Amino acid sequence: MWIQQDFHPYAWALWLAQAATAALVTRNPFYLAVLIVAGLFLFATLSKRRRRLGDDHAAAARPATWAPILKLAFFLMLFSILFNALTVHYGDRILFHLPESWPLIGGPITLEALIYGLVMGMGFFALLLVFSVFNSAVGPQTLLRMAPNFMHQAGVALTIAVSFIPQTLIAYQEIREAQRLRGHVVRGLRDFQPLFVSLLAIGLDRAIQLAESMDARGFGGNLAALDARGRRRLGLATLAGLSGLLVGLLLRAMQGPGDAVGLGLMAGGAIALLLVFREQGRRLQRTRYRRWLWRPRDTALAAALTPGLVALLGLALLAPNLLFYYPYPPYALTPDFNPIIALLFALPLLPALLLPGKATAMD
Amino acid sequence: MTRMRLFKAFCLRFRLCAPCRLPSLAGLILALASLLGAVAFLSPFFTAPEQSAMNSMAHSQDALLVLVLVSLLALAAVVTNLQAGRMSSKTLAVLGALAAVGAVLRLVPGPGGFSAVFFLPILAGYAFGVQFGFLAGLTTLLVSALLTGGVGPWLPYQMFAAGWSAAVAGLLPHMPRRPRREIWLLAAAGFVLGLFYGLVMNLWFWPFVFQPQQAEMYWRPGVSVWETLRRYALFYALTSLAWDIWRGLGNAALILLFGAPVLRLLRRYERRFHFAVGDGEMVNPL
Amino acid sequence: MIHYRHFSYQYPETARPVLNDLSLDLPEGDFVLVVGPSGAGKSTFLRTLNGLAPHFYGGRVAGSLLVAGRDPVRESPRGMADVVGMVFQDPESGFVVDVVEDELAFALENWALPQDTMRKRVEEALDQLRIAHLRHRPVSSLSGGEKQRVAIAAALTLHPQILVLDEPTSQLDPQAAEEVLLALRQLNEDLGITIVLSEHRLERVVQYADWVLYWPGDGARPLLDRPPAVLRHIPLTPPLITLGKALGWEPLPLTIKQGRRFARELKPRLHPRPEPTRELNGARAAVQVEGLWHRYKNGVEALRGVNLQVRPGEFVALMGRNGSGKSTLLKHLVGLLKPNRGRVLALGHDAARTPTEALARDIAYVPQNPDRLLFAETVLDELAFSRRAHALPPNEDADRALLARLGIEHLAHRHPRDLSVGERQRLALAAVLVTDPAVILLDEPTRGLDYVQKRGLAQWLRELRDAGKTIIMATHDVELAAAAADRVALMSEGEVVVDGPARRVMAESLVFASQVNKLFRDPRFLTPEDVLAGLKAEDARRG
Repeated sequence: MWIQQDFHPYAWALWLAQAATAALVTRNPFYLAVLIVAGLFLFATLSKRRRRLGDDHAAAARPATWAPILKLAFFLMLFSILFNALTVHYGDRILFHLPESWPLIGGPITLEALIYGLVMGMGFFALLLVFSVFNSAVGPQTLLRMAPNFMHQAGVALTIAVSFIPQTLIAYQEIREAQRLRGHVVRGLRDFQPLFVSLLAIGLDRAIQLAESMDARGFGGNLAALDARGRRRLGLATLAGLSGLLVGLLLRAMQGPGDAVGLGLMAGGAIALLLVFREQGRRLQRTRYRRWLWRPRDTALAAALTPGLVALLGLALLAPNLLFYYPYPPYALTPDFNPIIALLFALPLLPALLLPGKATAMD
Repeated sequence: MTRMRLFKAFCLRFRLCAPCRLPSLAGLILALASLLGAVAFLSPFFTAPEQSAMNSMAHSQDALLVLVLVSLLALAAVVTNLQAGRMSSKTLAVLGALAAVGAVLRLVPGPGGFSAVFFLPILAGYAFGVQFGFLAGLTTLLVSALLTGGVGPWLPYQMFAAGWSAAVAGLLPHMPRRPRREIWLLAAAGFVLGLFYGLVMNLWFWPFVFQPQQAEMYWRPGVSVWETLRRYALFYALTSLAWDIWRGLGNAALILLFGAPVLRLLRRYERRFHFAVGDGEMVNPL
Repeated sequence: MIHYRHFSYQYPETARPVLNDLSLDLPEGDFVLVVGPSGAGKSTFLRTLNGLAPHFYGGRVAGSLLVAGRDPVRESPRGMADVVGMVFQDPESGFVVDVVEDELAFALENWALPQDTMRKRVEEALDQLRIAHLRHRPVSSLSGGEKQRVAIAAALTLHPQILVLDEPTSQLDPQAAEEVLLALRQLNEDLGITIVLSEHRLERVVQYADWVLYWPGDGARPLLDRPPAVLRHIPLTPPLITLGKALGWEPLPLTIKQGRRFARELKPRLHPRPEPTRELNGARAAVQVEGLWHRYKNGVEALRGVNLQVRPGEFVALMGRNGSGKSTLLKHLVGLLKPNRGRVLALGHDAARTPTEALARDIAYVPQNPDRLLFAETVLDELAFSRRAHALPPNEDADRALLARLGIEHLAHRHPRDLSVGERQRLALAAVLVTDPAVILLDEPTRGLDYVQKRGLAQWLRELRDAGKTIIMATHDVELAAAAADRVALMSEGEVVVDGPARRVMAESLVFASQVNKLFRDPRFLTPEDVLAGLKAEDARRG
């Protein structure tokens, strides 16, 4: 009934919102570095903890390992630095020259371009890191269980797909074996046809069997029927919400991000859509068997992250200059550093600090 | 009244809604949400010219956040409204199965970084119609992202782009008596859609890679729409076109090789979804 | 409870209805066993009980059907979920979520029951099926029998009045099947749940049934009566009843215990027919396995030092529980798996060093799931595919002759996926026999086959053996092994524990003994044919 967990999935979702926002709102390398260090430390803490708790927990969430993360970071940075330094020949601090006759990469190689490549690589990496920590902490099944009611059906389709993947891989093995048993040697692309078609046929057969079993257990019977009028009402409200977003976005693009009418329309559209979603969610009469424990440490996490998120969004919308960084002239090469702002980027470390040192089976 | 009938005929012709009972609201929602997605992706093209560079650049760093949120809302609106918000377990399971096979295909490395991930959504869109195609495209991409840990701000772009590709395939005419021509048509579509996917996918980062003036192929706030288009075209041609042609050719080749049997297979399943009581037809579509 | 009135159902694009003008009432609270030749419409019939047919298969329905006062066609399967629980042949393909407990709660969540009720129901179901210890396990890690019990528990949580099971034990070994069936019997007795169950292996289940519903197929009327009355009239009977019918035993015994009385009376009159001695030609072994070890990547040690020698023309049955290493051993013989230690010589080739594609031409292998072996879009194409793959010239006449010998020539232009299980099994066999191989390997060939088809298969395998083929068959179908094999190798935990003539091994085993053998406890009598022949010999001696 209770799932073993380090934090409540909703607390993790809040963490994801805060950390991903942090990764998206700035290109300042100092702040990004703070975020990356926080993320890596948390990642290390979680994987150590998981190893200690043993296999039970690892079944629920994917085991987190270092190697792919570090490899990814290395290649992202390298690619980004090389690409940017070689293709962008702009800036005052010239390191060396490549012959002008070389297409695209010929010309001066500047420190600014190098640094900006590094910064972009860091941005990407921070974002990837945030999502991998979240993935390993929550795991796809929990994630899908958390899906709000209006996304329930989409969540089911995804659950099915995720659970079909290992079966598809097994079927692939079996078909390959069967083909070899019939002397079928794969020489060209065309020889894959029987394999691929069988794989799909097996997948579809399974899908129908699964759907039978789901319907036989009452799936979809709990959706309150909606009459044509109700359906039209919800549909029109959706259209209105989408139109609001559309016009607002256009205004924002044309008049600049500060345009009040545009912002208002977007906010209105978003609220309309959210209301429609809530209404649609209400139609689904469904209860949940699983409960997650909301513990004091979840409250602590939420209490720290919520203001953190609000502060980041506020900064991004109201005082973007504080987060701004651009190494090329006429701007300064050295980024600003404000310890209080840096603290906002260190917040994603919090789960690592809040977890009890000694893990118990119930954690 | 005649106009109504014409509209219905149009819907049936292009299978915008399976049994066209009313001018499909879901179809409209899909169209509007697609437009919203397109505007979100294209917003760099109509930025106000008089903005100060500094301010606008600072904002364009958070613009990605706004765009991602908007496109997520649009996707959610589509998903909850398709099939009138009531997908049958059959639809869900078939979607799931297609997405799983598609995601596995993405894991199979093809030559030159090609992946076969679009092949199935395109054929599914063609066989089962626009709405199902859109769903198939976006679930396939989402599942493979969940599988490979590729969740990030590019994901909504991928989902939209794949959904559109498969939905467009659903608009193509059916020629059951000329299977060979049908396959050539689909292969051509697969090629074009491969290019189209690349065109959309470059958009998500292109405006955010600030590059200084020398590099003529980067986005700069404040230049005219045409100039922006020209720059994007240059950027696309230089960085991405070769890959995309490769992807398009791969799609086309896969469809030529496997399209016919896969299409036959998908159609075999379709006929199981209708049944009759007594003499009347009771439709129970996918 | 269940009332069919002039009910018909027809699949799309078929000429005749599967259920034709059916009028039938099934009794409430009883255990109803549904039997019939494979492809006669048993599954279809079971699926009409909650509306899966027509809702999942399309086609046309007519007439009326009431199940617990509701019309499944109108209510659709989900509307019937609290009345009819459904369990399928392959439990794994019906699981929606990953953990046992969540799987049990799935129906409850759909039914929007409050959480404390859900909790109670899940605990009940866990206890009823004795799977409480599995509650936190991922479903994919369970054994076949455990999976099937989880599937039954998941169908029970909504407290249905009727539980419908479509061949629930066909993929289980005898012990696991026994556990599942005992659990069902208990549900029926303790809770009064009506159980409607289809099964081919009557010997497993007929003693639990209150009623038998027989589907003759071909649109003929079904027959519903008490088990002895139905079994007296139908050709599909387990060995014990076949024997009882042949000897006119009254009342017809359904269990070994009931049959013993007759056996005791018969025994003095029995004289075994002389065993035909078969000369095995050639000193060289067709298949030689020496000290074979295999460990799978996940660490499971599937084979531990297996030694086995099979001479040309021998017919060996590999028997043992699921997971005892039978399939792993077979896969080594065609090089699909490579040994960690030891050696496999197949027709003189080292199987680890020869590509499977080449070995497969002389060593045919039909895997557990024959569907995997079928790729083409028509039956005839399937054989042509094999010829192409082995670079043999096309020969449609020979292909048709092979199909005719297997009794499926009339299906030559059908799509393999439209065939029944038994037909697909035979087609898979045909697809690998095109090359006229010297050795034939079969993995569980009797899945989904009825008694008549099984007898046909046994007969046909014996003919192949008499034509000089070497046959190795992994099976837990005791009756098939008794009827066809010369030699039995019992496997357990990756080792061959007993190996010897079929008669001796089966007579000494408790679990792997055939029904007739359990009756007489005499190695000379394994099948009804043995007994009848023994009587004939006696009569001849007297007369």
